[in-house]
Amino acid sequence: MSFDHIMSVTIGGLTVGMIYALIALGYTMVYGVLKFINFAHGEVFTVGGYVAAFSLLAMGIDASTPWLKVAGAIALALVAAVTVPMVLGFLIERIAYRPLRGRSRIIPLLSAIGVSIVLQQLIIIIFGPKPVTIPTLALSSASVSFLGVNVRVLALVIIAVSAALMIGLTYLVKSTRIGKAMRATSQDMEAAEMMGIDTNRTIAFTFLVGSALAGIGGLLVVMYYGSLKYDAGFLYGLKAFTAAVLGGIGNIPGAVVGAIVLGMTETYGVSVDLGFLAWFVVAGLVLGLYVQMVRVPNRRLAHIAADRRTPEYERSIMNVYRLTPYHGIKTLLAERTDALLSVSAVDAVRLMAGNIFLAVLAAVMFINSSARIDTRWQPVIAFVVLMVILMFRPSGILGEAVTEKV
Amino acid sequence: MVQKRTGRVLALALAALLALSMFGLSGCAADDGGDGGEGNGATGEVETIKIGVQTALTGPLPDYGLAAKNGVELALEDFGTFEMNGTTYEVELVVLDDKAEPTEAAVVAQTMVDEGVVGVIGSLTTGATLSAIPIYYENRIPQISGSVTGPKANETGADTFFRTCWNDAIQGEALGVWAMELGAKKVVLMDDNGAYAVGLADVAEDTLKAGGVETLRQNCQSGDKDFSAQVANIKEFGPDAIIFTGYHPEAGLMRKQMVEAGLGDVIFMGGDGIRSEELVAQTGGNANAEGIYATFGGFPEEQQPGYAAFAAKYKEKYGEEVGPYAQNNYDAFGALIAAIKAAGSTDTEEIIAALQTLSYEGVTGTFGFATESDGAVAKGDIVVEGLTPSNVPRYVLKDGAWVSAQ
Repeated sequence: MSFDHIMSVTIGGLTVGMIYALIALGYTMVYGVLKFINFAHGEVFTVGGYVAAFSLLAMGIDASTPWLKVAGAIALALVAAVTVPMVLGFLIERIAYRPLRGRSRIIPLLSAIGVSIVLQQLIIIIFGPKPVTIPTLALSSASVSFLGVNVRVLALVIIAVSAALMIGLTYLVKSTRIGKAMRATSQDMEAAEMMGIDTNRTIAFTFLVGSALAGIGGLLVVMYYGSLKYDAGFLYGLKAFTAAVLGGIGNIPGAVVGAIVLGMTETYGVSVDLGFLAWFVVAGLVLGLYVQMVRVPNRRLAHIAADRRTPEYERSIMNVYRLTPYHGIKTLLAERTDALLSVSAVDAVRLMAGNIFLAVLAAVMFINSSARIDTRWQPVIAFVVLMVILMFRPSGILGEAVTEKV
Repeated sequence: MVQKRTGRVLALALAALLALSMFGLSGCAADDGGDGGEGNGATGEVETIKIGVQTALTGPLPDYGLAAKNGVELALEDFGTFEMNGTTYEVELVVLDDKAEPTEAAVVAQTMVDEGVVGVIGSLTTGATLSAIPIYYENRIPQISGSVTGPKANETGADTFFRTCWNDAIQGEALGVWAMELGAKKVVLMDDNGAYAVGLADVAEDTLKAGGVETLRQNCQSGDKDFSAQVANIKEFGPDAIIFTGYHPEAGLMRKQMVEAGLGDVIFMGGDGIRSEELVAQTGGNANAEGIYATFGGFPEEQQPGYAAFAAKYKEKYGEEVGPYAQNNYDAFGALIAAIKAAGSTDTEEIIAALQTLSYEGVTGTFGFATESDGAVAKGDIVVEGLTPSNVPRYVLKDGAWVSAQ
């Protein structure tokens, strides 16, 4: 496995991840404010892509068009690909969500799924079921040499745009007036209204921003892959939503981190050798051992009244976690009445089992270090990693935004 | 404000969604057409014989099922009344629906036996056929399917099973042979995880390995857009050719991404799933599509001797274009009647013997059935005059159109 290979896989995974991120940001913003998952967001992305593709086609752009004209056309396509989804997002919120606000949470969710089905059908009716394709442009196939590896310029553009938008959004939410209104609306809609915030306007604004991001994503995907199908929004939406949850839903940097983790897992999982992947498992093991030996016992001790924390007692608790099974079990039997007993024993066993599993896994991977996972497993690996992360961190990698609600 | 449970609820919702998304759809390719007909006579007494039509009018493939039924009914008009040994025979169809389910197919097969049919046209799908074959075999009833293309359909080698459509294995072998003729020493096989594509790729891989060619297997999912992991793996492997056995939407994107990764010189080949002119746009234009190779299972429609006449008749009767495998089912019925006449008897054992030596001029060509399994050709497979595994139709993309590469 050469350096070139790792580089191209890394850049591929990063690009896929950043595309997910653009869509994930829209999910996470709406969730942050409304605690509601806008399942129609994937379709808004598809609409953006179709609008971009048809604008480019309408302007008669092909491989031989001079670059200045191409740049102009892309700028116009960008305007269209942002405007149409914004109008669409605004209308969806106004028609399908606002009248249902304040009802139980399942109702707007169903409405969102309905909107997504309607939009997908509308795309088929208006644009037809065939995928839309655009001619290869010099810009979209241009590549530069980066550390000896050929990288498509567009991949770098996608990575840069996503990163810039993430920073911009964070600024918007944290440091502007409307951002403050969004955070207030998120924390307590009624109280925000009493403070004179027009929550309806704030929510509409959130949808506008989210939809604009989806539109930009649509344009970039069409330019990067050269084609888009009417149902692309479903899979992209699903993966972006996954990324948003993985990173901690409602958390803007979390959406990007989650998207990168997902994109990288999908790509790395099946295209690098097990010996290389094993180092990620080792990193997980180190983290697991730290939690088991330091964090959990310390947290446990902090809960125990100071007068009972004799040195012997502390040692016995540490033993439970440090996995000298004999010591641990003996201590547990001796201290049967203690709060430590049931819960912490289960914790200890679970942590131990988890760490032993990781150690065995890493060993197996190192033994078969030149083997590679079959590409058939691609969706499975991403799913397993996702479940493992959520099992140990239900609120996502960076956590749901808690105090400073987005 | 934030409940701890949100994370867990989200994780659950996510798991459910991902599970749903795994029910991917996979399809099956369609081809071929035909004709052939003889007169009917009338003397003396009239006798009615029953012929079964085991198809799937409900279930996942109702369009295929209906086309099969239409094809047989059209054949009934043409061949349904015939004279033999001074007796006029009239065929009565027994149409039963097995929903393309193996369990249902066994029930249907038993019902056919109880109805006393002299032969069966069907069933529609490979899975259903597998469970019907033993029942027809034990009861010595000839069975001709016009749409089962799966290489495994007749793995038991029952002498009662015949088919008038091409076994996918023949195309798989043809692809492997072609790649070797082109001088490939290292070949990548890539499928989309669907039954059709996997079957084709398996056979092609076996053929290549038997010829001493080094192979690498890759997969994707139908609907995937990004193949950076696969492209990186392929680049590292350094093949001379890639055989993509899925369908054109993924094939086009795969080719485009390979060209962008500097793998434009690798020979790109596929089966009839990619032999669509849609492929050109999906690869990003003529520059990328030029020189892609494809095979076809059996004669393509425009080369089938009786197709034009059949299509006109079909359209007149049903008011629509020919459905998938309709002409193969038409030929199946025609061949069965021809075998009855050749046997000069309605005794099923004699009909089976007649089918084995039959040469029938149908819509899809003049054909007989293989009496023994030989390489990619299984027992009971259609053997078309002028077509052998080393001689299946070959095409190459030139200026955006498929032209013969024989």
